[in-house]
Amino acid sequence: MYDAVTITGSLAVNLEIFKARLNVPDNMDVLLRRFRSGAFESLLLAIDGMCDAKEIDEQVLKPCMDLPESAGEEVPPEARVAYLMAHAVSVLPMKMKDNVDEIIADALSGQSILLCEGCATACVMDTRGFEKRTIGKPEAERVVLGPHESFSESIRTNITLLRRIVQREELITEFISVGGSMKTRCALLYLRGTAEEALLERIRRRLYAADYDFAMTTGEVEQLIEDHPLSLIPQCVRTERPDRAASFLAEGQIVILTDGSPAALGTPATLLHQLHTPDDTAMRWQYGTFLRIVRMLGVAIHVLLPGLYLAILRFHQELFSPMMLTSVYETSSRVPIPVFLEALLMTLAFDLISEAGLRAPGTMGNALGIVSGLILGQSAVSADIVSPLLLIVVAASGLGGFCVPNYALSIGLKIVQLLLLCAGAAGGLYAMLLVLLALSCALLRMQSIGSPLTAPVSPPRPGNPDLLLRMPLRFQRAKAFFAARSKADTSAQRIRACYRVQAATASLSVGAMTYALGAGVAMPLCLNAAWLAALPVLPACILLCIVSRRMLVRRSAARLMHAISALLLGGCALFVCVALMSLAKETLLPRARASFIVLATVVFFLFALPAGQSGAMRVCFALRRMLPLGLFLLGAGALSFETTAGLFPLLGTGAKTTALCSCYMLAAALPTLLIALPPSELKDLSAQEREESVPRCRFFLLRILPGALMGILLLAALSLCSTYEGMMAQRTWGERMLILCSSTPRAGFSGMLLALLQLLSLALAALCLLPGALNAARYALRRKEQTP
Amino acid sequence: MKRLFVFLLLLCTLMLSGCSGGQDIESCLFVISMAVDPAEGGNLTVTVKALSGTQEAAAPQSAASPAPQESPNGEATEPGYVVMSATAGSCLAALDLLGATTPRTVNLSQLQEVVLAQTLAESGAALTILREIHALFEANGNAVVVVTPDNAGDFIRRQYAMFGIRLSQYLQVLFEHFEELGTIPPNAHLSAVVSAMESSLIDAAAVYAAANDFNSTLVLPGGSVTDRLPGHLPRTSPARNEYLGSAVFSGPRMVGTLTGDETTMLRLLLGRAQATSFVLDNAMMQIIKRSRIQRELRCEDEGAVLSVSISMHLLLSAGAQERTSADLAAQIERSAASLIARLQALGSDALGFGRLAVRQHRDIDSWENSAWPEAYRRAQVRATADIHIR
Repeated sequence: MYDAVTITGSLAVNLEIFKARLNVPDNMDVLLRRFRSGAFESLLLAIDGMCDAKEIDEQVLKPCMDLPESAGEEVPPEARVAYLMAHAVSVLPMKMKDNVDEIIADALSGQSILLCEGCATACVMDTRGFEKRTIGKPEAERVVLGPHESFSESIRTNITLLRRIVQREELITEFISVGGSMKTRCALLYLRGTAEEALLERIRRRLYAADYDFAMTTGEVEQLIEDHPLSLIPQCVRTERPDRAASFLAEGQIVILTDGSPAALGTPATLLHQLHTPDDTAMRWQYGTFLRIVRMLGVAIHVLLPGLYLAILRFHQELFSPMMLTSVYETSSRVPIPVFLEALLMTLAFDLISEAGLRAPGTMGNALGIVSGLILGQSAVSADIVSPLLLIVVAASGLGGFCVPNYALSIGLKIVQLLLLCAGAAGGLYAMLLVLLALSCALLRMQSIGSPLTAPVSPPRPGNPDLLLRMPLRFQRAKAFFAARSKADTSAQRIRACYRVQAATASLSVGAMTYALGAGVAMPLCLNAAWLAALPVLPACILLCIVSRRMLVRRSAARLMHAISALLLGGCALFVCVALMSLAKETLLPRARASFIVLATVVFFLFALPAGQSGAMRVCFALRRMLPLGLFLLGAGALSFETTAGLFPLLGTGAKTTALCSCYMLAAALPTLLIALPPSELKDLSAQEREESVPRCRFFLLRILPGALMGILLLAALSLCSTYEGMMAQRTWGERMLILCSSTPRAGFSGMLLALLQLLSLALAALCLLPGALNAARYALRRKEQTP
Repeated sequence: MKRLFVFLLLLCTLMLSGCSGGQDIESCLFVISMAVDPAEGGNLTVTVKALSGTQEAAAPQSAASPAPQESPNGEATEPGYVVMSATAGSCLAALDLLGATTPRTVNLSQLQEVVLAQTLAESGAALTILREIHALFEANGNAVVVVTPDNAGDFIRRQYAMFGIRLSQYLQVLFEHFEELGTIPPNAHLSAVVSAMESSLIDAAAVYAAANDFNSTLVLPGGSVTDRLPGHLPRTSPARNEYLGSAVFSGPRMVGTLTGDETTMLRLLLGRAQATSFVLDNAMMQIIKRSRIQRELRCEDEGAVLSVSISMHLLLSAGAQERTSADLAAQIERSAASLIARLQALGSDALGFGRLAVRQHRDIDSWENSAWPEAYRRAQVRATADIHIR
């Protein structure tokens, strides 16, 4: 009957509308008060308990009822509410509204509504006065130094807390009602001019688009706006500390508060934001840095230790020292259940104790934790159900988990820990590495409201150096990379960042080449003719690098160069694949497993990389970053031309020579190509700007020299390798690989070299993934920005 | 589709890696010492000393004769370890037999020493045995290769930990001690011995050890105590095995032995004598600075010349020094030349002059046609020493 959208001029009708909508008289909380205010009647609507009754009595009802009976006679009916506001009511703030839904929503939030006879507008007065918790201490983010205030459930109080810290006129608060039928009031706080407008618009759009019925807390709001709902890692950072939320604002992030939730949501956020604590900044940089290193160590122990323990115990027992193994062997022999089940049960038991301790009321939680730990641990060891070493591993891992300052992240890491535990039990260190790399790839591609989650590490972003290490304050910029910048500034920084990545890859490539070339030339028999054949290419490349670096920024020349290098790379990648297939056959030889593991890792990366790219050309071109690794391994394994030629069993003699020479020539030219080829960011600039954006020679030189040094160090390690002589004496490639792989990891330099190879391949592959991630993130960002 | 492709690749990489052979630790038999002896009918007897998983003493077992038996010398088996042996046609078959008769998988990743009977080492079977152990059973490449004139099985049965530590740790400490003393060769580790035996540029040297079977308090004649072979010293401690000197090989065949002092000189010429003490007359000298050793190979009209040049600082650590630097240098030159001549006579290039020779050839064929072993035997020797006494 009363499905009106706006209120009417008749007070009786309005009263009936509100009675019907608010279920009066069944709903006893609704206060509807008709009273005489001068020459006309008025109506006050409020919800009992939600408003401040004393304030309504003294500031609204009494002044209105005290008006003389002739007051307001000459006022037109439609201006009666405004008349009362001007002459009687003394409440701030006030708003004029006529929409019934909005008026009811305001009344339900604790505001009081004043309506007058003959007037189709209502005045909404902020007379909220419900009971609320006082400002307390933060429970989940305790600090030693720094402020001890925390947010409460009242959004108004929370905004006040923030405003007290950020006393700037640029601080803007926007209110948005989120949700479907039961809306929650959210406040969007940001510093105008500091926060990037595109980010702000993206968050607004997502909040308005959310149609979840009831989004009560910041946690639910976070789930409504995040980019990757299936991810294990949270993409926004929640804090209950006003000082931390204020620091988010200062860095250009946007803070979201919700009514009824004692936490603020900082967005967009990076992974590193979730690993920082206010203590890091409150203390001197040395202490802050030390604490961060300890925390990172804790995180690594938490995630890796149980998996490592299982992997070593089941697959790599040679890594134990004899005494350690004796001790572990004697204790494990008494345990009746398999070690995997033992580790799984203990990890789950630890989580059980942790969860029970958290949910148990008050001081009981601590007692529960201690008693359960003692009973479970001591009894399980006494009953020979678990081994003492495993107990230490699980306890150390659990302690590491408590170092994670973000509760949501710590739960995500617990799941990762279980994944790695299963991988370690199923496939040893190799499976753990694969899982870690798959997770790293996923992490590298994740975004927080369109910004890369792993920035500023990958992609490298200019901004605050307060990352893993807490550098002195004077080195820090006030704003992070989220903050708004001029377009030209952003573009120049991105181009510089791209060149930095290219120089780093070139540096690794130079290192690999130094090692492979050195290994060939330093051989007593001097047979590494393929490398010698590749040497003449070097001066040409250097010349190209010096003369044409600026010329290549022209579009047509760059395109041609890209196309030629992509073709060359495709051909060489094919040769490397043939070599790898040939190597796979060699796994039939005993003890060649380790080499196959190294190469299989490379193959995995080689093929995993294109997953994030698009277009055959890009895929082919992306391989250029993997090629140094393949060639590095070729150089390491191939100690002479004739044995390297054995890598291509399917090719004829002439083709073998061609294949090898082209591989090596391309390897020799690779650093130059990497430096000379312009990044695609340049295409947005004018010709003049493009030429100015190319860095000077010193920029590349400083970044390439460490790579060369690394190659020399590896060469030194090889020369100290005791099996080198024996390896050299063999005539067939398989025999050489057999000797190279014949040592267990504790067997001196050859083992160390293998481990180095594996580590280097991982590091190189990870670094090679970074540019891919950078490109993917950039294109994704650009696409989203272009989307209206 | 892309994700499926990547997932399949991940799965393939995992499956193809050969990393699916994990084993619970209690299902492995961790061998600490291993001995190989010749047996009747061309067979081999492999004896292993392994972790038993308990602190209680275990009775010795034999796969060939399953009934418990006392060891031939009546030695008690050390608590925490078990000694087992198996006889078969080859080392691999014997290890397989051990694995089959023991409900455990034989794991050699913690192997500390491999003891070979001297008769086996001299027969040239050593390379085959060591390669099989090293390659197929994934043995610890750092295990020390020992050659003994006694029964190798008895050798490891006799050995037990002294001074309150476990055998596995004791063996590490023991070899480190002898390396410091300088009376065992450097590079006597399994992987180094295998690669030296396979190489045509250098020959292997393993540790030579034997039982000192006689209790005596007699004073031995002669100068240095260590200028002897193992088994020639009286027993003055509970330890019955004595590690002293080197067994030198020519290719895969053992061709002779070096005394403790000769081994010290071998270490010195190989540049591995950083912390070595040695006795000259009534003085105990210590090398306090890393020696700069230069080995050269010159081709002169009358043939190849093997040349070594030693430069070192000596510190008098005990006794009375009565000689001049020149006297000491002359003595060291004589010792060095004598050692090289002995190695030449044995046909063993344990000092690795082959590495210098191969650099004079441009390719493998010319190196193989150069008849280096003959040239090495006929080469002249020159040794020069420059000694500074501090």
